[in-house]
Amino acid sequence: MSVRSYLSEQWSRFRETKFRNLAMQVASLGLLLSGALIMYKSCMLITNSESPIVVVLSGSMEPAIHRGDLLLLSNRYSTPLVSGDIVVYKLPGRDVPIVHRIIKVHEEHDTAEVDILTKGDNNLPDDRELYGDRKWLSRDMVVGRAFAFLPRAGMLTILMNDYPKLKFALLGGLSLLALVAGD
Amino acid sequence: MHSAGTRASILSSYAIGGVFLLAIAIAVAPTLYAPRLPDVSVRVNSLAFLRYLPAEECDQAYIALDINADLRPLFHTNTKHVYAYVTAAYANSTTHVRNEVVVWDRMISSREAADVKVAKGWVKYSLKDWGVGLRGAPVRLWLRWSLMPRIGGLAYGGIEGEPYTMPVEYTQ
Repeated sequence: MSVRSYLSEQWSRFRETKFRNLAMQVASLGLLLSGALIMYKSCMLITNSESPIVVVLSGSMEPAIHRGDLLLLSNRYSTPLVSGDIVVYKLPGRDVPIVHRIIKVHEEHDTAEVDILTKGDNNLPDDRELYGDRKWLSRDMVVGRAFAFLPRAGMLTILMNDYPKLKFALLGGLSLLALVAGD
Repeated sequence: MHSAGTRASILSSYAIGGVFLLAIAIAVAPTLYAPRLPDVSVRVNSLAFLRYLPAEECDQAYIALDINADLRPLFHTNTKHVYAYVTAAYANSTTHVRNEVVVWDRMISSREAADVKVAKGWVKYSLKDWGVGLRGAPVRLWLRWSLMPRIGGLAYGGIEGEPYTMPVEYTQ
């Protein structure tokens, strides 16, 4: 066997394994991401909430809840919404969900519809000004009721929100790492 | 095998596992023993007025409360804050079956501050109805608390105080 044919054989094998490795890494990365997505979607089904985990972006609930704290939400109720519950609501036409506390509940006689008023613990006035034209929140605007609390667990989200470049650097770095790191 | 990278990865995964276990332990431990219920009494001391508020088209009552609430049992190892609040709950036969309005609240941050004593304290938020259903309404007062943990599940509780019946006619 000549040296030349040996070398070309080695070269093609190297190229082949390299491609297989790469394909393997891409597949496992995809598996990881889809696994995370499946987990999140399952949480949405279990809690019946469109966003079962929220990161608090404002300080309006201090000192109980700070910026960067994580809240777990559920939109299934064994007990009805009552005053004092911490809820997350979304106003129509506004993307950012708001985490505040219910201070008034009025349940209608015939329809069992509820009119809700909220307020941030750290705010002096209630949320009427945020509501715009409407006077009350309705039930369908409530995304969920908070049932658990993780302090500072969403700090990374806050940082990525404040410095968008960090998000790309982090995402790029992580996917690069996942691709090149063997095993 | 024994590169710095693998060592760092093993160490960090151990550290993350340890932190998770610790967090679970902190969150679960206080729920294992039965909590002692706080000693609470709340009642309406006096009523300044019950009137119709034309600007907001609703009934408004302004009341003073006597609150005697020793909430110190709520402060255990996993308690960060306790949000204590008084709700006025009443039914209105014509429009709304369930009305719950927060009239007073206080954020309590330490065990020392948790022995709440208020004598004839005028409420922070006047009692405003959805409409005109306050006249003659029997009002049930509750002192409630919402416990904010350092980590883990949120807890709620409350004890009913003395009921109060609103005047049958406006006082103003």
